[in-house]
Amino acid sequence: MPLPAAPWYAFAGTALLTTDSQQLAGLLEQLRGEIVEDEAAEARIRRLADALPSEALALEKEYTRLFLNPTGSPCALWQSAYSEMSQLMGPAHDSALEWYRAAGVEPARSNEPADHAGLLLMFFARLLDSGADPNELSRFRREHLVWLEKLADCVERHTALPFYRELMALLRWLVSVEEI
Amino acid sequence: MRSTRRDWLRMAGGAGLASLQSRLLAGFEDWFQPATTAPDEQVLITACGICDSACGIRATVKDGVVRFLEGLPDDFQGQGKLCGKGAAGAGFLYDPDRLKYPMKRTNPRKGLNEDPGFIRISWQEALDTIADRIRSYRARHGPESLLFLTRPSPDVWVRFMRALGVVNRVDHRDECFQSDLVVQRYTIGGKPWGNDFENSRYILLFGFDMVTKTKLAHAHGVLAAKQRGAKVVLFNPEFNTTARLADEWYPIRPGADLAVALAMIHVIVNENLFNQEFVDRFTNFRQYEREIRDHFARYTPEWAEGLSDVPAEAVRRIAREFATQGPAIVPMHKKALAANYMNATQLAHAISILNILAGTIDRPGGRYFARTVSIPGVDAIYPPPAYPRVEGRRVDGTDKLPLVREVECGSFSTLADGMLNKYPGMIKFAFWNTYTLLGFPHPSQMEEALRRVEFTVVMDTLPTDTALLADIVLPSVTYLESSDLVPREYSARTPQVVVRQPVVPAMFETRSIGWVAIELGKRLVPEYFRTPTGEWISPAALLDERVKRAGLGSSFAEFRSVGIHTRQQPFTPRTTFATPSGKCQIYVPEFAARGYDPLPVWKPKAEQPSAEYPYYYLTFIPAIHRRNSTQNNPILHEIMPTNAAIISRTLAHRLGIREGQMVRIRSRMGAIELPAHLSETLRPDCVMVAHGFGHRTRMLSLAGGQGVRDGDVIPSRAIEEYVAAGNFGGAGCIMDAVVNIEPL
Repeated sequence: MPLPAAPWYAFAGTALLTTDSQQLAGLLEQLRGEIVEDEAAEARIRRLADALPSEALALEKEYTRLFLNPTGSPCALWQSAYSEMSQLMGPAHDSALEWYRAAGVEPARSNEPADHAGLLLMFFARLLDSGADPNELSRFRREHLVWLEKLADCVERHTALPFYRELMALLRWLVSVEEI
Repeated sequence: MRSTRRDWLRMAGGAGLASLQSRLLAGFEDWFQPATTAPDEQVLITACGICDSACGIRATVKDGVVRFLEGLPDDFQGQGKLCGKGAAGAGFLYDPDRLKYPMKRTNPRKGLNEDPGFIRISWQEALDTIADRIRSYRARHGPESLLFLTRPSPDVWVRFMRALGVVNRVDHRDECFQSDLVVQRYTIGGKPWGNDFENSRYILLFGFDMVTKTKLAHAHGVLAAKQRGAKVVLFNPEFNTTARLADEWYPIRPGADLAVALAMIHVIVNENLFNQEFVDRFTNFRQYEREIRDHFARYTPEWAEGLSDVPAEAVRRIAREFATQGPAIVPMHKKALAANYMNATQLAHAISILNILAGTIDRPGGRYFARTVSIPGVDAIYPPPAYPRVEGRRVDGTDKLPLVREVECGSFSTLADGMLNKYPGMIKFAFWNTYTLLGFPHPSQMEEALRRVEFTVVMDTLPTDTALLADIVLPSVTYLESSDLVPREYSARTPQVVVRQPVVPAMFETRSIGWVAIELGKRLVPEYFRTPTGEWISPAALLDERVKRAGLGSSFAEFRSVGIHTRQQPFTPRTTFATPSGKCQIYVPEFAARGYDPLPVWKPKAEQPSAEYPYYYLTFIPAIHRRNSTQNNPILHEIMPTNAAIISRTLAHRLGIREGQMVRIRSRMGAIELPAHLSETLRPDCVMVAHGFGHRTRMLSLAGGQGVRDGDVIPSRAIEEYVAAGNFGGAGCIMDAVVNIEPL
């Protein structure tokens, strides 16, 4: 199965970094304009767009509840939190930072750990977009994307909000493709 | 691997990444920037912030991540070591459960089982909202409607509260060392934090596991003294770690430490064994000799034996040894069982007298006042306008304990009674800084009291139970992201200051309480937050000024590069003391003038075993944890994840309880159910439960739901009980409960 196009990863990354429904709706529109893969892709975009909540604060509330703690089991957005020690800034952070620096970039917000799921997805989209070597893409996927299955498991266990359930389905699809 | 990546990236995109093919990737620029930092490794000096000892740390930081924490060799306090908690400090910094952003509640219903519906907000919105609320409540209901649960630091925070005319600031010291603070102000002129164990020959400990549950400096000191042949005697219902190295251990009846201390004074005074030179020159003994001799005549060792189970002959012998084989010392401090009975104020006085009679106050081998570098506070650097007069009712009732008011403490144990019963509805606004419900006796009652407060702000590093009840949550920095100057107090025969500096940048959007004080101050009391030249006070400029005026360097940046400052000077013992008479006061006329006992008298602890509740209930802070704030640290959690009911094998056999079997512990206040842990180390009429567990919130992924709250069976108190019991130092009474135990 061919690797999904870079914009998919960019969208997933952005959706894990922001709760601005309008921005996300706009990105989905762009995605629709850029992606001409197949009907399945079109259906995927439609499901995501339909799932975006109309209530202004709904996404913000659920994002806070799922990822920023208060109440409910926390689903950390940082890869290091899924390591044995369950601590931030672990080896996954170091490795992500090494990847970024090798590409001449670093996270713009120094207070955000480098192994944030959104940053990793965004970076992978950028690698893909710039025509990176398939072996390197494969290595980045193994090192920094496979764990997103665990994030998806956690979110699916703890949310009823359709948008995040759809987003996790997207995440699983993006991560499941092994052949690059 | 790095070169390989560089190679392919160069091939793929020349200098970095190739041009964008998709508009969706335009967002990349929002989240990434050209790399400006290179990999590096450095070792930074800072000070621990888990407990007040603030031991010096060498932090190895690589690529902006703390890799290793170890003791600072030249530091007097830690003496080159860190305790288990300190060494695990990065676990607090990198806890994924940390509060990360300001948040506000969207669900108006409050309760531990309610979803607050928090949403993320900006600091601007959070501060504006809080300021509006304070302004409104203060105008409509007066400053007494504001409750601040916070330690009295930093000084800009104190300035903020004083400028507002805050009446109700409460902290936990009543459960710690408050009675000692109150009493020693009048007996020796202040609470000395230094215990010169290294030079002691005789160390007497009441209810104190000095080696494991206190400061590293003190633990080092006791061990060093022991190696040099000092004698250690411990009175404690539990055979704890200190008991293992003590020369003598007595399983004293809980709450009877006072009886033994009074009897020892009896022996020393009756047999004239006290340090004549010190007592004659530096105390008021001769002035009140008749009162003193008459007073203690009744407290014989035989009398004490009946109350304490310590043999009279042992009391007599230990008293003689203590007085004649010194230098001798009796420390009193927090985390000691003895400091937390209803009679702890009397005990603090008795212990102070024992030290005075030994002649070791501010002398080698005794309790001494820290020699510190004078670091000016904000009021000295930027003198404020006159503060408003503090007027209003004390919700915790401590206006009935004027000596507690003098030291500006409060009372956790009576706070809920005040909020629910005495002054219901008076508190409209509460600001909690790093305290949790678990810190209170009978936390459910405190939860109810907090639920009724109209608007609550919680500032913390972690999402505690208290945060669940908040209207606004503010994320706090940890000590590893903070700046300060930390003078040594626990081991300070010569002055020393250690820097506290951010070893890494503050994560997410966390801020310090000092920064919050200034930002709220600008909004509410701006005249108190300007410099004489009209600029806003800034934390950075304030630190620079402190460094300069304390003689530590030309700026904070300069001092942080050095990290530690030691001033060599000889230790000159005090010859005058900061009491009203200038002498050490065995008999305290100021107590008498207020209607209190000028000399310590026997008072029983608040509750005694009965047919319904036949056992003493004791709580303790395990060595590996700090109060209720460290249970979510992964390393400390692994070492001690939960609590159990520690019961003697003798009692367990009698009650038919097996190791690990669930038991119910019930007091007049409530019940807890937890597994039994059988031990040979405890008196058979006691049960012990570790404090700090039973966090209800699932927000703490490791600590949430682990263990039980020890406080659920500890009665909260009414201030009238303190007044009636002569507890004028306001000791928090968290060791006074009696309970029943039944197997499940």
